[in-house]
Amino acid sequence: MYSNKQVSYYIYFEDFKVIKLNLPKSVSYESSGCLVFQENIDLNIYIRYTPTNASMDKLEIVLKKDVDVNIYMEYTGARFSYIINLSKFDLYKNAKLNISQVYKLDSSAVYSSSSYVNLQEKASLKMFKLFFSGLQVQSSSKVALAYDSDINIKALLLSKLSQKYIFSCEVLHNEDKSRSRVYSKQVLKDDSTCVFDARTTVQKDTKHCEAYQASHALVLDEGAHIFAKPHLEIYTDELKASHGSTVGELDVDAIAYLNSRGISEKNAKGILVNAFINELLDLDYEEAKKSLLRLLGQTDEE
Amino acid sequence: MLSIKNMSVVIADKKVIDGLDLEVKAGEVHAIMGLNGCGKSTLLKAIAGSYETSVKGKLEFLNQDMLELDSSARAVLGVFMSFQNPVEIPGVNTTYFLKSAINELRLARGQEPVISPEFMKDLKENIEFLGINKDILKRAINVGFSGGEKKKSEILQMMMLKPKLMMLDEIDSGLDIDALKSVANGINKIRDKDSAVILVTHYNRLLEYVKPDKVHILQDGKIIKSGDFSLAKDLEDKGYEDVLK
Repeated sequence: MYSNKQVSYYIYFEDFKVIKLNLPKSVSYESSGCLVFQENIDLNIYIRYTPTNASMDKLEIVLKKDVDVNIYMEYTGARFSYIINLSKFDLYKNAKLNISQVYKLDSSAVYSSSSYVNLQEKASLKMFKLFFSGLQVQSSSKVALAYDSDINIKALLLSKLSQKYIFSCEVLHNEDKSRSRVYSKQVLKDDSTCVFDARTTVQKDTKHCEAYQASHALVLDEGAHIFAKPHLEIYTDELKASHGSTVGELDVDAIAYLNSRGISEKNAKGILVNAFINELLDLDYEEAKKSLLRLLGQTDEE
Repeated sequence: MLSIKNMSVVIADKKVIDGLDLEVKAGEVHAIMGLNGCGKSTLLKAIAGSYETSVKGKLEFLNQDMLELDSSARAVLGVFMSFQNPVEIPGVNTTYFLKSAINELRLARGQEPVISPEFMKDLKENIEFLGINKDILKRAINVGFSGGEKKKSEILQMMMLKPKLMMLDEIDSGLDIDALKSVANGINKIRDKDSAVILVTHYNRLLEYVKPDKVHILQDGKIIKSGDFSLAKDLEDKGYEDVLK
């Protein structure tokens, strides 16, 4: 199980250079951008990126056998910054990573992130991504799954004004009993656009794999657009799989019900939007959850 | 307290209420009866300010013109309507919803937010009084509630919000005898000389527990006959056709 203890270790990057670091001995950071967790220790790590202009860099996270880590990553982006980030997650046998990635960017910032995930036997990755700021944010992930490994990706896209958020994910089930769940919710306002593009491939001759994809969008304004493309490619018969997509508006009868109890229309809509997204915020990692709720509180005030 | 004159109501492009007059004084209980489709529910929705209704005429509550107010503003004034089929709202916890509603009402009335221990004490007392399983407080509003739980939840909300005008739309339908008694007890517990009750019902059994001062028969969008509790008894014994001869 994941620990809920306070974050005590951190790395702060500015323009992708380390400016502050506090890590235990069992964790090494190489200047090439590789963070290696050697031992089975119970850790929470806070990683903050603060690029100030156009930049490109990479981060590789390696969890050796049996290591169990919680990571909360915050990407901040200055005005007119243009950032390209390459990430690699390499989880050895039986390693467990629980990671939350939050893009906390200036409204003019453009961010593009590509992640490569490799899960060895019985490894497990829980990934949560929050898009709620920045002019354009694109996140794509490629995942390779070995025997009995498990990936659970949740993405929450909260777009407004003319923001464009693109979430794409490609999962490859290479071996038996591997499991994937790609789940995204989008709340769109104004003239914003969100994209959910997921492709899960289950290879020939694999058995007992599980593959799930779902996208649920709540469109609050007529000018907003959602493109959702859940996509399964199945080359075997023995598996469990499903995919689906829904697009809807707020329920007028639910708003009316809350209004009838004295709750104003604005607050009623806020309650219903929170109800829609709360399921995704129910993270195992309590510190990440608190930070996210604080962030969303700030967005509500805007 | 409530004054309606020459009110007409259109719902789903159909005129359902047409030239209705009704006066309700503080402390009174009124029962509205009538055949299916005569406009009973529409009348309550119009008073509560439902978005489905388009209303003309005079509608005043506590000497304020209600037609200018939306439903949340009417709730702030003290209007409450229990829904015949309350909507299910996934993801919104019932306790959180109740506290939010109370605090919005208090804020709009210039009062401080409710203190949590005070709110929880009041809530606990009311659920015990109504015989509600406390588990529903952790569940989403009306989601997975049985018919009886939905009705009791509506009464619980009413008891917590303490309105001045309580309008109950077929609150007795689908209730077993014990549940009917607890719902009636809930209504009787919070009504006083400063509040009024309007009950829409098809049957006498609720009226046995919540005695009406006036009973009205609605037909073709108008009140065509009014009387005391004996009118409800006549309807039960003889039916609408005979009573309205």
